[in-house]
Amino acid sequence: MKRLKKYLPIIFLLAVPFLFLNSCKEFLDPEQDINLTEDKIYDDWYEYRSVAMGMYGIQQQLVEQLLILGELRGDLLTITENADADMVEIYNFSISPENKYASPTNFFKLIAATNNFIKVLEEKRPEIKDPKSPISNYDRLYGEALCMRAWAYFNAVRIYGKVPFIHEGLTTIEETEAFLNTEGVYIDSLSITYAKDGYRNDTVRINPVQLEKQYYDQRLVIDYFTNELERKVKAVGVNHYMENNDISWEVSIWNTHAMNSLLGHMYLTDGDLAKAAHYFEKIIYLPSENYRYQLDESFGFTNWRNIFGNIDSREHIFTLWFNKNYFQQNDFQTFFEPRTPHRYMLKPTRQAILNWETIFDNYTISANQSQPWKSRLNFKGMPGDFHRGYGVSYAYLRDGMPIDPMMIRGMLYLKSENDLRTAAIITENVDTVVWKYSWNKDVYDMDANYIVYRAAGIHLLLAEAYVYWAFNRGGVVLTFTSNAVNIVNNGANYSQSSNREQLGVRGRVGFGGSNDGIKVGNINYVHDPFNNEIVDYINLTGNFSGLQELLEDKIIEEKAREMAFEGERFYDLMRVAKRRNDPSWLAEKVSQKYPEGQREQIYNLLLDENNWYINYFE
Amino acid sequence: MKKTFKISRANRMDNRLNLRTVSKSALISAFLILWGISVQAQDTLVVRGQVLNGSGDPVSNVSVGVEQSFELPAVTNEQGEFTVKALTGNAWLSINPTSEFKDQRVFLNNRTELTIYLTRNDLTSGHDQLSVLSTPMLKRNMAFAYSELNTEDIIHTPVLSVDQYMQGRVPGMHVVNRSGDWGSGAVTLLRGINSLNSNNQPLYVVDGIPIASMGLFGSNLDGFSYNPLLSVNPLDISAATVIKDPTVTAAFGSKGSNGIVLIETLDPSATQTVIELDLRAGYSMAPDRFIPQMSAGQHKTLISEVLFSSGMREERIKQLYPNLFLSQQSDRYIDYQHDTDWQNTIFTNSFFRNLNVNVKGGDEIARYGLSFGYFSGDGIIKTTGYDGYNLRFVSLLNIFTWLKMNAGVSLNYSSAELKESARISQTSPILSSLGKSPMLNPFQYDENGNELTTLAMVDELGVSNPQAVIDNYSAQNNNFNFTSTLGFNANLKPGLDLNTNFGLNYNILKEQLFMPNRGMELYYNKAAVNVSKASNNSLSSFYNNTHLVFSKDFGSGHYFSSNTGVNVQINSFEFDWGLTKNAHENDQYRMLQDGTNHMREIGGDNRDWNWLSVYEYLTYVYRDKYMISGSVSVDGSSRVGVNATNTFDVAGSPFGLFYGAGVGWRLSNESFLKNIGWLEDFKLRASYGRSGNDDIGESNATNYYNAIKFRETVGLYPALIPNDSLTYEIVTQLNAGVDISIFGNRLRASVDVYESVTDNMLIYTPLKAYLGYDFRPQNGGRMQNNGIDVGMFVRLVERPKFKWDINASWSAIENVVHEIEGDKLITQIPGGETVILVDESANSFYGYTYEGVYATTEAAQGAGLVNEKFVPYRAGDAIFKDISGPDGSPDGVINQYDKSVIGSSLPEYFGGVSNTFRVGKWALTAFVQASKGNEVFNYVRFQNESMDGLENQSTSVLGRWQYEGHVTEIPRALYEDPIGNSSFSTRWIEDGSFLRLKNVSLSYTIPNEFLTFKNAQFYVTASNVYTLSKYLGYDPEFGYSQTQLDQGVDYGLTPQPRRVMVGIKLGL
Repeated sequence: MKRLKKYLPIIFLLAVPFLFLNSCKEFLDPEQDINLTEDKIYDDWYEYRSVAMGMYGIQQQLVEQLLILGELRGDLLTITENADADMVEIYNFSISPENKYASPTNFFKLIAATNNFIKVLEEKRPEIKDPKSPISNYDRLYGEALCMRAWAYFNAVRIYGKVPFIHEGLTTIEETEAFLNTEGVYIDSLSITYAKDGYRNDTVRINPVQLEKQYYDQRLVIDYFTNELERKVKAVGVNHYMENNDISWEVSIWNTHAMNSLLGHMYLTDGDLAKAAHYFEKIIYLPSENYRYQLDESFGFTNWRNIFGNIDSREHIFTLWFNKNYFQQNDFQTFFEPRTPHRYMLKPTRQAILNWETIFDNYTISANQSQPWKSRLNFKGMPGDFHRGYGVSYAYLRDGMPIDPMMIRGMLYLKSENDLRTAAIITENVDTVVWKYSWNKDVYDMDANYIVYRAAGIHLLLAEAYVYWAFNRGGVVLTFTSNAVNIVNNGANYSQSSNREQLGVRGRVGFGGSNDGIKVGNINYVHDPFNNEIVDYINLTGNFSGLQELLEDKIIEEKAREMAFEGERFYDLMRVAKRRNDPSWLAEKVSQKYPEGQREQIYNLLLDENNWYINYFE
Repeated sequence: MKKTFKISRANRMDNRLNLRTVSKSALISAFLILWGISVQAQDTLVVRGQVLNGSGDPVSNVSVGVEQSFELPAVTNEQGEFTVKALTGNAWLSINPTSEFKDQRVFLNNRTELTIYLTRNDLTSGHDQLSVLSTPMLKRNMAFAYSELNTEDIIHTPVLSVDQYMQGRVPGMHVVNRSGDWGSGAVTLLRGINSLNSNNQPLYVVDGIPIASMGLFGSNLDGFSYNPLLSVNPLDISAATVIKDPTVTAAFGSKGSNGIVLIETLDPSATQTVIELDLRAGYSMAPDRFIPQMSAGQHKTLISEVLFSSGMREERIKQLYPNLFLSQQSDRYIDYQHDTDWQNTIFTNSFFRNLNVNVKGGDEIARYGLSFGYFSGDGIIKTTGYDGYNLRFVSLLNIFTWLKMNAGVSLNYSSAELKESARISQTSPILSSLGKSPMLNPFQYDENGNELTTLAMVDELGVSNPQAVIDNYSAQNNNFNFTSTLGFNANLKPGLDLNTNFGLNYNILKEQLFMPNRGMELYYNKAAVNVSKASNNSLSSFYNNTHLVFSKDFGSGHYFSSNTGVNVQINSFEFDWGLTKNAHENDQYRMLQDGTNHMREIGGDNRDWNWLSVYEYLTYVYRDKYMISGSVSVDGSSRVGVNATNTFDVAGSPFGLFYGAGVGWRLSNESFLKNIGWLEDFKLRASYGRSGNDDIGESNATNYYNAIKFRETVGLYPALIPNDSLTYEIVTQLNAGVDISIFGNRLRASVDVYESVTDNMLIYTPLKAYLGYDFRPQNGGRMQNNGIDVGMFVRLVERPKFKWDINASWSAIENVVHEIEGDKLITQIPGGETVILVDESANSFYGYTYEGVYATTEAAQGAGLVNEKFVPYRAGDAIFKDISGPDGSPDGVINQYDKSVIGSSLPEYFGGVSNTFRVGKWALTAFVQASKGNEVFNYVRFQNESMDGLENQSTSVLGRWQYEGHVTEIPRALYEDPIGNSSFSTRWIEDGSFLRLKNVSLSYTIPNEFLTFKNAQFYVTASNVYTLSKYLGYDPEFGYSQTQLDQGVDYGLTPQPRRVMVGIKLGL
């Protein structure tokens, strides 16, 4: 006992340090004040929303590469000598794995964030999986996350051809690797190969098809995610503007119309024209919202440019929002503008410019149907699309200052009078610049929005579906080509609302009339691009598929005017070339922008469909 | 037992371990019997000997006694001879000379005749004690590698922190002075780099309390890195020991892998009141060699060449740069008619002054030491400078005979005015002064052509006015560092002591920056005219070390000690910063609230980490011949993951195990050498062990969410793929060494060879893209350091009126990476790239091989090479070696396949020699220090010779390629360099070897009274006297930060100036 007493102070003193530890476990795992761990969030609805906002924050980081991959490989955008080596690689279709614009990491970062959110929602809010439970904000967030994930996969697979499928159940690296490395295949018991008309001549294979497990190709991605959206989504999009009274919130997050756009877009890409049209029509025929996505005069003529100035929920369906005042900026101005501090790395191709500069307003011809070679131009009309083209989609800058549009009108007029020499003086020493993302912006703003879906784009996609869509009703094959023409020209096929006149894609900027609208018929005139004289004609009498292809050509050409540099061009070309089973159609268009010598090489390269993809996951 | 307790109280006041008090314990008797092989009764031995000094002259009047003998000690005669009687041959002789020499104990080792050489008081002896893990130990009994810093000369150098003083003086310690700014400190690497991504600096322990790690604090000032050693006034340092060996570092567990520097300050052992006053003042000199820049005319020619190379039309150039085409009638003509040497604008000679007061005193009950220091110095960059105050108080109280208490306070306040490095071109004094056109003038003119005092604005050539950088740019920081300590020592039994020490540290660094508008380039992608920044760091840290020491001398030749302890450390760190842009353009509103609202940004960091370790350190010495020591620690760190690999589980938490052991064999006490009297010590050592590094980040192992902005809200997303098995980096070291000391320690030398291997390195491993994150912190890879450390002291001449000492250190080291995920990890640094590549040194420079310039179009076409953008090279472009391609053979494209290792910042060897002559009262010391075999990336020259903009450039670009057939080594001038002629290549890599006469000092000491003062000393010193180097920049030595990745890159920090200083030391 005595001995114990003597050693007590020793024991006590040696134990002193431990008095400072309340628990060894807590001591060695202190809470980091700044780190929000998963157990600290998800307490209330606002915290769930914060995590959803996180997905959009990550999505913002994708815009530069979406734009570059979607446009620089197409026929409307090309490089300048300032382009960085990674851009040069993409331009040359020879892309190294280190290329920063081609890296799939950001897609999968978004996928990881959505997977995590979907998993948490399913675990903590199981009612969202019950279709009968009343719709709550959690259902809406769940819908947003599912749409976001589907969108990310769909975009990734368009770029990479095939992508690893990481489902929400995989949380650690080890699980993911194990899942991907397990040998095996999926058996798809029903596989449909859609015919060009999307319905009549589909090939339905009942024989099971073996599919690779590790990677999903485009068809499997579309199959999986259309299915998931149709099955799981009860509602999409939380109404944030109730709280902050900013209506642009509605379209800067995923919403019902955006989901329908995505579904239609995926079905159209897959060739299921009936379903594509079904979803696109859902957006366009919206009596409950006063047909908000009809193309009326809201964005007619000079108002068209406002699409790029503000977010307006009559045109925007889903837009990635940027704003300098909230430190959300992107590099678009850096890529496109020559004004300091920007770099002018990318510029429009000659073809892109010609699309706007060789369109004529209000021309008239005296047609002779029976002897088309005798048809003549009566009135040449006014050259140039100045509502969508010069000053909005592109501009000529001399020493950092845009040339006055009146000068450019003059230049086009001179060209139409065949005075090419005087015309050339006007644009001497100018930089041709993509202007969509600089319009109405200060050089330091760098906060142009990135539009994922907007009304005109959906109208054009629907028109594209209508070109081929055929449908057998009681032995009569119904086609919709005239609808397609109407959508593009003046929207005549809609006209649901008498107080809001439907104008069509071209109509709202003044090119939807009987003469300056697009026309597809038995006799189709070929005009001189500069003076609009009729130089030739194409006779498609009795050639219905030729007529369809011509119409499709014109829709794609129209899209180049309406949607240039918005990130979809290369996929539009891919989709059409695949539908026609004619890689040369894409190769021909894209290779035009390359200098002599390289043109041939790129053309041959693009004849192989594999080269349309960035083979990152080989 | 109780009785024993009482007996030893008589000796309580003796702080040191009194070995003679060990006598009557029953326990010892038991040991004696157990070990009693040589304790059997013997006849009395008569031992004859002679006592000599280091020069071999006999010393009389030295008392020589036999320990544990009842006989009175003998005293040596005129011939230095003595005769004593010992009971056994295993007895110890206690030699107690007069004041001139040190006491020592000599193990008889069965000798009956022996010669004993005495060590003079001013020399280091193996019989001195050294505190290891707060336990005093004899130096000669250490079985591990360590070095002691000779602090004698510290007063003769103008250093503000001890790390700088260690340069060239500690074998194995590679010290790189960070810059010439006061207080910038140094990068210290002990035995090379042991980590790629975590801390590489040794652990500094000041009076038993570990201080904050280097570079912990954040800063908005580019090139600034906080130096926590500023809290220790170098003049307060009484001893500094550098421990390199795992035998001891393993006791520090996960804090020990980079070695340990133990610093002891004021030693309050005096009972007589002593006051010392030290006054110093000096002069720092602007560089005497400026970088040769082109003249106004040469610059104008270059500008036109660059502008025309851009492809711009002449009218456009005239429109953009009208001032290059001014006529004499123009208002602005006079502005362009200069030939200014801008380097004169920024550099200056400057003064510094330093005052130190040191008071010690007390009595048997309480003793204290107090020091106060004040330093004020201006920098050699105008308007920079440093002011600092240090206050340190230590006290020692005897509460009871068995209980002592110590309490201390250290206060440090410093304030510095600094400038930015050349990484920020707009505000860097060096880069702006090199780049500013000599045609221009710092000040404006009025219409009559009179120079005004108004600063000239930035003109079209776009370089900040260096005068504006000096006058208007301001970056100030204030550091307040407070440490209080409290400790108790309880002597429980003779040889059994319980100690506990508490340390509380509170450390704040505040910073305020203002980047002005007038005369300066625009900032932030040209979106800001002026910028204010502020930041605040605070660290609070609690530390306790409690240990129980048992030590005993068991009769004839067994010495045993054990030290069992616990370390607890709790840290909480916070860093907050704010930034705002575009306050009023008159530059008068400089605070965060003055800027534009929507441009205000804030950020920060908040980290907590804790440490708990239990250790045991054992030493055993047998017969003064065999030594064993070892340590083991069980270490818990909050930073490792819950499932950390290489740990074991204690109560649900992961703990790491670290251990080390060393053996020593004193050959000089073996029978074949024991009779060589002048060979005092000849010892072989070998040790092995592993220690760790837990600096792997606080959150890398945690699943947490990061914030990301979206619209007006903030969103959250999973920050990383956590790695809950993240664990300590482990360094395993094998060391072999020899210690020798002869002729009464007139010559001492140590040689160590070692191999240390780092495993489980923290690596940011690139992840597969489908995982969604670029990198993940993982443990992996393997790196090895092999090296030799040599330390030597020799007193060549020892005469009453003349002494000549040489102190030298030399180290060689080789670093090789053996394993790394993917065999290659490339990191982008400003201006270049570094690589971690198997079989190469860590973080080597990685770039092209530059082979000159294509003189002719024919030569360029003949080579057939294109750059990474597939643009062919033409005449005047750089020739880069086409090393390889995607398929492993040269492909005609200069791209990433053509990069190779082009240099390493790690030296092959380094060292220093200090030479001292003492003639009477005079002493002259010269210290030379050198580093060899390291390469540096001259970033400043890269900016100053790339000829891709309108900045002025160095005269070497006068040799640029200018015409077809021009044979030269410098490529053509090319606007924005789209070809990539100035790409990172061997062109920018230089040999960083240098040899520097670091310090020369002359002092005159009056040992007796001088006026009313005692121990007065007057001295004059010069530092950085002369540097021998091929380096083209100002100074071949610089350390941008303490991070390994930043080493060897000259980002244009202030060069180290030559300094002269006079000082006077007075005692009262």
